Amino acid sequence: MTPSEEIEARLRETAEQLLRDKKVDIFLAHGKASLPFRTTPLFITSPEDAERLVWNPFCAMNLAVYLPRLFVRPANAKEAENLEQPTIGMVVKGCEARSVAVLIQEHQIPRDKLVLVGVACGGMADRRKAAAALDGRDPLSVAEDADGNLRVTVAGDQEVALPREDVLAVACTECRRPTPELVDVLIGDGVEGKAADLTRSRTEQFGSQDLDARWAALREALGDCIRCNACRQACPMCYCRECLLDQTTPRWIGAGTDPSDVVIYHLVRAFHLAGRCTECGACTRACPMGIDTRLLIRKLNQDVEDLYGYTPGESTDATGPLSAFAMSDPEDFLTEI
Amino acid sequence: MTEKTIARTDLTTLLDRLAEDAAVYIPAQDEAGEAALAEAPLDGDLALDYVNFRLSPKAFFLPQNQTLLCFQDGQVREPEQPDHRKTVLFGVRPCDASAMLALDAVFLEGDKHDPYYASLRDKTVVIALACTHPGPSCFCTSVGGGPGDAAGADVLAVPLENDLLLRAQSPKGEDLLASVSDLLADAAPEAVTQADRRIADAAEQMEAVTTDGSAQWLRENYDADLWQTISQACIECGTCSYLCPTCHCFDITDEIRGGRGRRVRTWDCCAYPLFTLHASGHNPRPSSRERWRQRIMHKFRYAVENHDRLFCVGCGRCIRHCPAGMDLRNVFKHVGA
Amino acid sequence: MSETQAVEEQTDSTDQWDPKIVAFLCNWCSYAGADLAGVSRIQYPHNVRIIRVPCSGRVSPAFLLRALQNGADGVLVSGCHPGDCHYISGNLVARRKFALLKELLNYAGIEPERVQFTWVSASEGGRFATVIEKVVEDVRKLGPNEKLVKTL
Repeated sequence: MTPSEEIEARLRETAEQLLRDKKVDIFLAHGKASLPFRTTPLFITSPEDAERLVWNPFCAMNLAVYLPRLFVRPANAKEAENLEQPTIGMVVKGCEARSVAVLIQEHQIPRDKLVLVGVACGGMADRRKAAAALDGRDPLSVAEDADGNLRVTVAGDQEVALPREDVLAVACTECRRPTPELVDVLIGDGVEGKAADLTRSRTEQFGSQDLDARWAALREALGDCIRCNACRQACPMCYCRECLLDQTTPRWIGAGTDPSDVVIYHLVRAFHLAGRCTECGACTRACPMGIDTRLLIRKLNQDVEDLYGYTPGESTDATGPLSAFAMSDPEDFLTEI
Repeated sequence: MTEKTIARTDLTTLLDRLAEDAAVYIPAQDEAGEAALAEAPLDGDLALDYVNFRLSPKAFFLPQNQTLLCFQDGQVREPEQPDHRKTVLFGVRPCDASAMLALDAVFLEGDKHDPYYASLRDKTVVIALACTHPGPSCFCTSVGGGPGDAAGADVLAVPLENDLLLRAQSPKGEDLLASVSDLLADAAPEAVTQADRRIADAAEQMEAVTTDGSAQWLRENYDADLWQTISQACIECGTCSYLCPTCHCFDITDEIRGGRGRRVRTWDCCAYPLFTLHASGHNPRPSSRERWRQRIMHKFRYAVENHDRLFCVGCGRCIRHCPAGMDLRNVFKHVGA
Repeated sequence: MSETQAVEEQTDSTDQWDPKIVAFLCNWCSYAGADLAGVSRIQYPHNVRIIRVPCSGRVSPAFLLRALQNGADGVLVSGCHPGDCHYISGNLVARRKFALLKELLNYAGIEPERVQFTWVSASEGGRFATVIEKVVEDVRKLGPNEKLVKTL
């Protein structure tokens, strides 16, 4: 059995047990999709269905995005008192566990109604990187070998070997904490994270260009944006029922692809994720145009770490960095008179 | 109808000729390496082995961002047309070409006549390119189409061993072939046979899913439990609608500053929660269950009832790009069951 | 030549453009300071359009971006000195937001002098005038806002 298959077997057992013992009402996991390099989320409610659960290098989706809608939101405190909430079990990778932690911290989901089954993640494959590595040939099927590398079958029954590290999603190549911390049970061994400066060096590289070059680079990076909102919808941290950027009274930005609207959409979304983004890369993965959606968000998260010593997802009862403050907060950004 | 052939090596000469008085869009690669229709320089051989473009050609007729009118100080005026040139699209796949008929049904048929759509449609000539190697998410044969069935196109090009067969399918197509007749040879019967065989081979490569009787089945199963389970994974990101060649829902908004403004039409998506939100706060499609059901109903039932055609051409973009790995072909596993 | 150089040349020759600054001033300190400048007949540039807010903490980054999109050449946000906020901690919450926003806009390639932040108290009429003079001059040197402005 490959390591993934072992984890898959234990995950299935755990899910089945939890459902059989009625410890959870729904178990949220990944299942087989109809195309290779993808999985589709499963909302398992009966123990027999636990065998549909899979674990492989394509379980890239951040399942925490489904949590706010699976719980009932009380309209007021009175309703909250007698609310019947389901208990949700789910498999969590490192980034997902952090997303769950932020959702709990922001009072969007109840911790005591969650059973978190953690798996340390070796990094998920990016189907676009794989497509590039396959020279545009469509993969017909893909399997993982004992070393975690991929064997892809393309047209003409040809097999192509793809080393895992060549097709890892960018977010995974920079992941500092692949082992989930907020868990009720951890399956498999922990995995060591990447060095802290990988993401930082990319931010620094962008920042090292001169001002106008940065603006040109930003405009180019966002040039293909079709304002589909996939980045926002895939993000577990974007749970507002009505996004500021969709509001019509008042209307903050237009709905189309006017370059000014596009830039402000991404600036505002990035700002709303400052100190909240758990760097899972779901936004980049969801973008149909292949845009580096984390370009601005990385910078904001880094600044929150540097200025206020805060990293999102580490604790479920910390105060968010933009709700907290200290008299000693730096203010060298002020205009000097 | 006229049937001609041209050597593959002469294709760029033909397109060059057309470019003398038209904006010619050809298959090219965008920055991410995905196939795209672009106004690229006509040097070197055209690579014709792409499966399909990332974005559908509908943006040529229904742009993401279209100014309908401008107003200033009480005066209303037409917007300036950005580009008056005739447009030639080369390399549109048959599925996308037949999608144009679906859009025509919405914007031009009966008592409707959208002048913005009509003027763009009138000035565009579409040369479709038949498929010889469908991709894993292609399913045109399941929805009444085929790899050589390019009903909405003006010319159908079929790649042969060393040539391309060119078949005029409309008066515009006849005119186009006539304008470059010195570059073309009359199609020999062998060429036509080869073309038909290649198209038939391509059709064989696709696994067909039954959609017969889907309109009836959908009518009878409006309240089925299926809709709850099959829609659970949808994150309402809008990718499917924005990339779909037949999806055409739009929003109209005014962008105003002081006494000046413009009325803009932008793409919209029925999967968005705000799509059917009433001013009163009531939403007749309150969850992804109702919204996803509506999407299927619109394409496979209402379109049949209103326009006698399916509003799905089997291009597979929604399956390929859905971040949640959803596959609308799964609905048809239940049809007839 | 760079964008800003081209604009400077244009301004020198035509001298028609005048910077438009939108200033969000907190009611209790900075707006009162502006009032004091007025009452004391302290002259300050006419380029500023003042928007009164209850507290600098009320100011959302969306306001600044919208102002720039609508054609403002520069934006100023001014509140009470830390420790003096009428609502105790509004300006402290604001301080974090603005620190991040200033960094973000600079990173995105927007000239940092277009978006400025200060603390001006109710008794600092003269200081308010100095702040406005500085912001207007800084923005004048940059030329008209072309990066974020939306042309209708």
